[in-house]
Amino acid sequence: MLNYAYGQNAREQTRQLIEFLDRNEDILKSIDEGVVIFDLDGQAAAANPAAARLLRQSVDEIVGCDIDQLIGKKMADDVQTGTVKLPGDGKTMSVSLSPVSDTSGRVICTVAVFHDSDKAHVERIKSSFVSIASHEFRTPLNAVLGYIDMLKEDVYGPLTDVQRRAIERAAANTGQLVGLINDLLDRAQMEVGQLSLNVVPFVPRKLIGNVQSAMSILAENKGLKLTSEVVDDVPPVLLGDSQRLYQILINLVSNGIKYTEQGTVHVRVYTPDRDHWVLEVSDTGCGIPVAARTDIFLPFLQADEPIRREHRGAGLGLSIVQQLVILMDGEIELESEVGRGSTFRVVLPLISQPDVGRDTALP
Amino acid sequence: MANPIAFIIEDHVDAATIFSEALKAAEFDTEIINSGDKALQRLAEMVPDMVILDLNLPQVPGTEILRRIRTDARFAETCVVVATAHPHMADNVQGEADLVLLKPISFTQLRGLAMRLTSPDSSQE
Repeated sequence: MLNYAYGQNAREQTRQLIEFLDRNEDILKSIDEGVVIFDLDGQAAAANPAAARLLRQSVDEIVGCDIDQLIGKKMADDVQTGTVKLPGDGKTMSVSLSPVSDTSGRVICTVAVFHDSDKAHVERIKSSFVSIASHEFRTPLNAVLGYIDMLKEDVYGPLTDVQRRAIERAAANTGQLVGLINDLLDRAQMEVGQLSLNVVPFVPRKLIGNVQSAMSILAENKGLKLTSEVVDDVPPVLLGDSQRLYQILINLVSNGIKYTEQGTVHVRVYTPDRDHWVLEVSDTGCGIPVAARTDIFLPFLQADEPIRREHRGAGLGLSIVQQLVILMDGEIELESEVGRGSTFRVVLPLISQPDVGRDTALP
Repeated sequence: MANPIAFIIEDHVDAATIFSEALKAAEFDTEIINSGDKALQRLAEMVPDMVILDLNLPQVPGTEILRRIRTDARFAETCVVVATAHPHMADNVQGEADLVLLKPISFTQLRGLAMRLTSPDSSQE
């Protein structure tokens, strides 16, 4: 009699749960994983569209099916995980079954969650590819760069002028290859969510000074002026990933230099309000047409093909900048006028570090 | 005065040669050690002034060597520079090494760094 009452009560609670889910169908619809709810008798009482897609049946076909018939498993009081092979093409799916209890601890139904094992497998392969490729590319490159450097530095004896010019060309091209591989690996790491920030106190003035000294030679070679300013109200020490901020600035400044034939590339750091700080890079270059302003942030795309041929590069720089800015909870804005120039503005949340006294040791 | 001593703990022959030449140019005496177990053996016998440490080593991983150096008071004055090709591993050891360099590392970069570390002003940096 007690069991009968419990069964009735559980069925009633399951019915209420299904009714609730029917009324709020967006909840189940919004879940990427396949979800099927089984009642106490092991019959499917509800399913979401993802389950229908994964199990290759309609929701109506799933509802009413027996748990054993649907996934070859029995109901249990504990959480069970495992894999299910679908009839037909034998596609493997991982499944976890979790009993749902009422307030008194009695099981009222069981929820099955399905994942596409192949998809998870591909994600794992992608992630290990990034890690292996990273190591396997960098190791021989390290040797190539090292030996080129040693030849340039006369470690193996003095070079003739012709040899020196040849080795300078080899060094310049290897440097380009290193940049490209770093960009590709950064991009791949972002895609598998492996890229993380190393947030430390840093001195914004030093950051800008480092960018200025690294890039001024490039600007001078093109007859351009590279100028910079850090506005007085910017705190002397901020918290952030200084290496990634440097990477953002190097990308924006080198783009500015690349697409400017005469005039200036200017870097400005300022605080528009109490909660934000801004890295702004403006140039007097060719500008970006309105139609291309979204595309330039996509990987492997530049404003147009002639520009790509003229300036080379994979078109990864701005997509990486954008991803880094998103990772930093910031935003990137672009203002541009064709023939007059462009301004890229990176707006970041301001996290100052008032307790650090000795900023000379900071990056 | 005798030159400072650097251990280059690196199993890649070319990388080890380049690092060794860079440190020699900065007036270090260098010793190349190409596996983790040999590194532990040499560290038990001697305290170098500098260690250039690869993390991906045969026998004993570089992370374990770093941990042992950091927990042994004999190496309190030893400067440990990690040289790795793994950005992820580089992030993981940031707090433990004196410096973490991501390969490719240029000859001039390492030479300049070693010169700065041994210059008389380095203690004020």
